[in-house]
Amino acid sequence: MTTTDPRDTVSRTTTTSPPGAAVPSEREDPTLASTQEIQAGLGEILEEVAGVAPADATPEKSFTDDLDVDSLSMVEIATAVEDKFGVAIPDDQLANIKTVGDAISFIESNQ
Amino acid sequence: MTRLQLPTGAPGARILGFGSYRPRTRVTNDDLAKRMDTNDEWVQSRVGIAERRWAEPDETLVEMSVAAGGKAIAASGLDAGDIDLVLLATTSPPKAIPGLAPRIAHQLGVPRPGAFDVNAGCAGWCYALSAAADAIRSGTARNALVIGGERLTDYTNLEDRATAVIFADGAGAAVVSASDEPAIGPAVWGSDGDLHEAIAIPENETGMSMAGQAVYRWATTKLTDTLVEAMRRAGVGPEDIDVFAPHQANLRIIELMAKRLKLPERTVIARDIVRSGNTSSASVPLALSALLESGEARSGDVALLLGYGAGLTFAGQVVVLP
Ligand SMILES: CC(C)(COP(=O)(O)OP(=O)(O)OC[C@H]1O[C@@H](n2cnc3c(N)ncnc32)[C@H](O)[C@@H]1OP(=O)(O)O)[C@@H](O)C(=O)NCCC(=O)NCCS
Repeated sequence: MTTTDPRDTVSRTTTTSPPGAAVPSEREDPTLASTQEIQAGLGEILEEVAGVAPADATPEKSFTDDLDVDSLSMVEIATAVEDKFGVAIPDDQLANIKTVGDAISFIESNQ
Repeated sequence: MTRLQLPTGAPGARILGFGSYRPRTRVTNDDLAKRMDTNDEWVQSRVGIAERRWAEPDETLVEMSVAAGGKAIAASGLDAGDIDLVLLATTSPPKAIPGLAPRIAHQLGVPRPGAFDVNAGCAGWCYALSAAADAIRSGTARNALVIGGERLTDYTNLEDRATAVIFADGAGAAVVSASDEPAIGPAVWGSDGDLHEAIAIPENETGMSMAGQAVYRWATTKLTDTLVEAMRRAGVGPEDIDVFAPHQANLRIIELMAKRLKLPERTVIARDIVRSGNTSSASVPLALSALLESGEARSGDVALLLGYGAGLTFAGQVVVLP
């Protein structure tokens, strides 16, 4: 049985822009969340899962060192990200996500 | 074709009484910190365990199971002679051969019952409870003794701090009997065998290892539906649940499940993990025994149960407490 990865059916700005081209201000696919939307959505998740104040959930913050989010809360965040953005973060990749910014870029490049 | 005859079963099955055995030796997180690189803060915040019981050499799986089983028979008001089915749920038998249920039955004075062991990981007792209730309803048994017994420390690698702080020993049991009113709901059971390596004794090793985060993710995402379905099939809703007693694997999983199910404030949640650790197949009957002994749970209460673990296996069911 062959299955189509739903992500393959979505055209992405990154793959259609020639290298070095200016990032278009309007996204080509309106179903994709913008960076701002991802940051806001992630903020809501962090507040729900770990009680982090939305204002504190800025890209440079480290989950463990700055926001007191432990490895099991990270698993819950991954689950919530999958529900909200349809982006699965496998266990082995989760270990590489150290900051809020890492999570935003992961979601952005895998949605 | 010859038409075979079937016995007339019972309209329902119910639990008549519980019994438990907790090993003598109490091991605190500070005790563990003396022998491995861990600390009370980590164990309490990640898993919720404050202390657990470890069996001494004389507290064998058979001895603990006989002790718990004997108390359950006494609590049920029946005699050992009334029991005709003995099930031992365990995932930590000392040897593969023979199964221990016949010997446990013999030591308890139960005359020649149907007797076998069930290995369904930490879901074992819930699987066995369902098998016993179904046997009673179909007429192949009348009174069953369902034991969950474990000596997980026999299969724990003390070098692996991620599992050594979690697993523990003990036994819990219940007597299940025929009844006119059904008081054991249908089990919603299943397995995810693609995750068979997530909790296992690796090749050429003697101690168990666990992919903790994968199991945490599975438990917190896949099992809520099982619990909802168990309630639906028993014809009850979250508002009817007096006691929630899931397998005691991690306090955070227990709290998350309770939250996702939207159980009412008044629901008593089993948190026996705090003092017993993870006792696999024994955890649900140990937790229920403790709640009934303390008076937090009462006779007639509706309890939602869930077992899950190595396999991976899972089973949820609703029961009315004795
Ligand atoms: C087992 C469990 C508590 C482990 O928690 P975890 O956060 O996944 O643990 P990890 O192994 O990722 O370790 C996280 C950190 O704690 C440390 N750690 C692990 N065990 C530790 C211990 N006993 N004491 C102190 N620190 C410990 C790790 O070294 C790691 O530190 P690092 O981030 O600096 O590297 C958790 O995964 C769990 O409960 N899973 C579900 C188990 C279950 O439901 N089983 C079901 C049936 S039996």
